Amino acid sequence: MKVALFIPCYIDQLFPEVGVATVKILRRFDVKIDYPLEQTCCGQPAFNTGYWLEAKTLAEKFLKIFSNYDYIVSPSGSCTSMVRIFYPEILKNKNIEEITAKFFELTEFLTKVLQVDSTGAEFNHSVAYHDSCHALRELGIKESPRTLLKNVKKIKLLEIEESDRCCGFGGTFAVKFPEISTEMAKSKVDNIIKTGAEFVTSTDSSCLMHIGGYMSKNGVKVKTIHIAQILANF
Amino acid sequence: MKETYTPLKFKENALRFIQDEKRRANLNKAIYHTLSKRTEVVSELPDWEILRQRAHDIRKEAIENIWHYIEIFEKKASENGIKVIYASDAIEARNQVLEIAKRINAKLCVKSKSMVSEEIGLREFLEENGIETVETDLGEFIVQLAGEMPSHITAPAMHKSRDEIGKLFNEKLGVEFTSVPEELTKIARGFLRDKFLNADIGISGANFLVAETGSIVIVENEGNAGLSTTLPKIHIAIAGIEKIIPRLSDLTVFFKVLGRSATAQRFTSYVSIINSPRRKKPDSPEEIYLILLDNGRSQMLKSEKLKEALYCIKCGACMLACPVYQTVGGHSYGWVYPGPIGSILASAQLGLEKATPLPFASSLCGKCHEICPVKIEIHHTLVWLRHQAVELKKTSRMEKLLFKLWLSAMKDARIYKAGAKLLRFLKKIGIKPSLKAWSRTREFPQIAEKSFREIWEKELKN
Amino acid sequence: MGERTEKLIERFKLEFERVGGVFIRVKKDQILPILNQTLKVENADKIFVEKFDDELSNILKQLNVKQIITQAHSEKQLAKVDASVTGCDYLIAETGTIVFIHDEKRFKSSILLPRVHIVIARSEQVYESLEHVFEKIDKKFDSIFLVTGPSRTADIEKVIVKGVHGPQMVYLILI
Repeated sequence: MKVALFIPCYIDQLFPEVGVATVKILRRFDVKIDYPLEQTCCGQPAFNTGYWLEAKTLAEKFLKIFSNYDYIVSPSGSCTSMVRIFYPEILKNKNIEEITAKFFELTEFLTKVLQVDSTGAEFNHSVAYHDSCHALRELGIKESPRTLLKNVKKIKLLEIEESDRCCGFGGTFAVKFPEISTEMAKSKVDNIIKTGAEFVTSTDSSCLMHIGGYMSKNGVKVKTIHIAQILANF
Repeated sequence: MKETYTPLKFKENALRFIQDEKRRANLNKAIYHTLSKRTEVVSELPDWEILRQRAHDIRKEAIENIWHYIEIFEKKASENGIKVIYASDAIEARNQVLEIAKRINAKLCVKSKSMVSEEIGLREFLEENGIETVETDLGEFIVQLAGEMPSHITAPAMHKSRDEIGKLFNEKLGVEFTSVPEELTKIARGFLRDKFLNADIGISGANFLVAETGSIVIVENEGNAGLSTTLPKIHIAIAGIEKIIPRLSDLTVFFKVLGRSATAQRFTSYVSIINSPRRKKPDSPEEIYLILLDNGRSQMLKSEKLKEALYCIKCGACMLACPVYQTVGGHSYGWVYPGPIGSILASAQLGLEKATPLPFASSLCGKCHEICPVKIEIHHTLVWLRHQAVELKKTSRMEKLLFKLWLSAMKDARIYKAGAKLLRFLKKIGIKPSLKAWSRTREFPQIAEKSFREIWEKELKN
Repeated sequence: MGERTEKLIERFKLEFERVGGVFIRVKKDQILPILNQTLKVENADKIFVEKFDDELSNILKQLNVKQIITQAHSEKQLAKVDASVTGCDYLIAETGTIVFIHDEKRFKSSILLPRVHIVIARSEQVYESLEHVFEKIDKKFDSIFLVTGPSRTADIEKVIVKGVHGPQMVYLILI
């Protein structure tokens, strides 16, 4: 199978280690991956802020770049949901859903396509799992990440109270309504602290960036780590 | 309250509420209490998801064929003696009520809970015209005394503490101060009992209008709707056109999901299914009027996106579950319907011009959709409204420009890479881009030494 | 009594009590003493009694209270009674609901105005669900009133208070 990697712009520039981890994991299962260099952004920031024309332009380009692959994998629930759920909203092509159905978030790809429930990783730490809203509610991703994490050797996996409560990022919402966004981060972080975990992880770096940003500013010692980085620890 | 009660003042209202720790704590205590009870009563129904789907399907059937069912309803209700009147907007509706009141020289009206009546500002209008109008639902009675708007559609005084209510009763009703809920309730009961018995008109809303039988259905816990619609000689019910459902049996589905979603109850204490005035019954109004209110709803019907928002059965669950509503409270939204569904309704009824911050005041987490008993895609509709706002040029020019620039960078990988290179260079020479709106309360992420694509090119490709 | 009806009655009792109702099952000859006791406990001196069949009416005439109204000439009269004794049309086991069809013999205000509401029902009136009741009734009804427990509110800090505008106590006497 021909698999391409889709690395969201913010992971590319801010958290490249997440991309590196993703490659490591896929190669562990002998998946031959391509990384088309023309890729930039799926268009979500524009779409979510109402700029659908701009989002559409990017979406069309985006699909062209990935048109020759059987699967496209991304370490981001949020970007994957943009393609699978929202592209059909702005691109009224006839078989759009067939095309977008090839896009998978990493943990989905592992458990549903490769049908594995472990990467053989080891992580001797306590880790709390945060459900990213897009991954959970748009893509129904709930069990895959937990299954994969549970099988990481020596890990202590913890559930956050109201694990599905929004972290408050919401894209441009975080800068348009910073006070509300920050209060939501506070609620999330208060719940994370209650677990006593050393790390908080998620399928989405955008959430982790927001949660982590709040924690650093407020001297909270919990560290953020993307799920790919844990699963790649072999 | 009046000047700041508009969606346009959302941000400042929200900020004020965020800083009011006591009020926030009150609100969230009430919300959490309801939500945890809701979880209990919902988990008792193993077929909850099937019920939700069924409720969605019935509402879809009703809204897709709304005029057909309204016609059936009108015919049946009229046959039964209910006078059905159409009101295209708030002004028409208010005047219709006033006309009826004037005809019988009414001096006193009792009102049971009706969001639609708040929407059209009925009570204030009647009082301006010399007709004493008393809210009889305890929560509404409280906010009426306080001169406030309800902060939630099924729990109007949820933002008030017992002490505040005690003080209010002491000031406005001249009773001795008490903050014991049972005593406060008793005071209200006594005061309002007198009003029920002497009212000329009883005004109610309607939770559902059943086409098949021409019935007005009212769901409640206190008994005030039952009394308001039985004791006075005239009963005026006002309902939005979207309240229509096809059959009597459809009610069984809604009763299962409505109580659980609104107040975490298996069933409300009382349900009135009203078909006709007097006829055989002894104590009953002599005349029943049903005012079918449009007020922007037929416009919503024309839009595929907004149509779905009309499926709403006004349970208020989306508000309880919304992390934004929990943070800013109901009054911040500045419209009688607050929270997620309120953001859609305000945009539709007041126009995006007057409601613009609201569709943007959401992180789009989708919890509202998850909890909605009729499965409205509230979060998706909010994004669509944002798109409408952009189309109608209601967003800032600066923002438009920024996105155009952003697009040119993202359209071409070379420009994107050049931009990234520029940011790295700036970082090297000590210039950090800072977004005050972000960095005031959160650390800014650092741009990485090497981007992923560089690492791929240099190390990972093979 | 059929096993099925017994099961339904059990379910009704469970749900009715869960919403704060008081369920009492009696044989016809116990009606009078049970009602007298209940009215005493509730300090009910003045009561309203609905029109029942002759047999029941004769029993109820003997109730030990100061005043019995059988024909409410005005709602204001009903507002002054402490308790009302009425019949009902159906009982719904699934939710502990009592169904009243508002017709010539029934005063809706007798269900809502007094502080105490006592309902006399027969076992045959129990149905499993509202769906079943809707199938049974004549759709040409004037109005229907569903009662599930006493009047309540949680409008003050979510504290549940009973007896807001409607009755504080609802009794179901099943014959």
